[in-house]
Amino acid sequence: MLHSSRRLTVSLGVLFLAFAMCTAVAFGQAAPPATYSHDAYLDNQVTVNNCSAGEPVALNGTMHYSYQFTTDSSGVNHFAITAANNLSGVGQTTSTNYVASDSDDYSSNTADSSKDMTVQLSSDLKSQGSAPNMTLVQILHLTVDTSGSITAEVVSNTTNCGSSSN
Amino acid sequence: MLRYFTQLRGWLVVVLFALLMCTPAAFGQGSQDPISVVKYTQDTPVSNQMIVNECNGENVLMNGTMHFEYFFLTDADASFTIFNISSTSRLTGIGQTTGAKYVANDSTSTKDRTRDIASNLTTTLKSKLVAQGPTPDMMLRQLLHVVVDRNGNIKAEIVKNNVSCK
Repeated sequence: MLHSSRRLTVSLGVLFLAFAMCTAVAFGQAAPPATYSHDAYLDNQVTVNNCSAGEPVALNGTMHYSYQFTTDSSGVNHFAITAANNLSGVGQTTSTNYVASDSDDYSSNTADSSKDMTVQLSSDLKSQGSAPNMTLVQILHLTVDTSGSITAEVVSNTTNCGSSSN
Repeated sequence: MLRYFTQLRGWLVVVLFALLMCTPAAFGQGSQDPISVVKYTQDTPVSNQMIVNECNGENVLMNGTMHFEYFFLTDADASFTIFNISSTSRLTGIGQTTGAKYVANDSTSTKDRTRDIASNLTTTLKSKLVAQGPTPDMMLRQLLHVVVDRNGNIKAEIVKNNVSCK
């Protein structure tokens, strides 16, 4: 009887210890940084064609921007931004349909409370017909800050010959 | 006759005055400092870097150069610096199983407007891995961490390589 109750006490002790450790780990985990996002819509934005075999394409669809930031102990802000497109297009010469869907990541460390950067997002512009694929290069002007504000603008859309899937 | 000479002298004075007014402006243009921008460059060799092609599991051995260049401008009151950074891949790859040969030559550019004395950015460079034969092309994605400053210093590293088919 004494033996059994001692075993029970030890088991309870182990259980309590395990519970205490799990609780500490759970509470010790820092909350993940908030994600801020913004959707913008392209409405018949015509690409500038730099490809001899290509054609201007009128683009429609969504640009999705999201970012997170963390601040380290020395006050430096680390912004991590993702820009993604989900577009369809119509060739202005052949009426071929095109689609593009891709994303790129950008990050920056700065002592500033905001980040102002102009970046490239390149994606395959896949032909849904016999016209060749092209590469869509979008110049994006992005500003984000530590208040959760984001502004994004597609500065230009150009196409180059070829894509990875050609 | 006297009136004629008086009139002529009047016109000559006007012409001389106009000439004197224009001359400093014309010479002044030549003495203005032209806007000069210093471009800083760095080539980082890529030597026998093995990348797994996620498309077929094949190892691809990459060699070549990563070329980085930038220039910067400051605004009128020097509170903001605009760093214009360009990253270029000039690489060849050999599939270690199939012997397929690839060539990559692509670039991306970023503009960073900041109050900091340096720009600290991580961007994605997508390069077409163009197969030199019947093998399908692939896509190389490189995560590049580039730090540049107003003193002409460049620190650049490839954080991550990824090869995929699309």
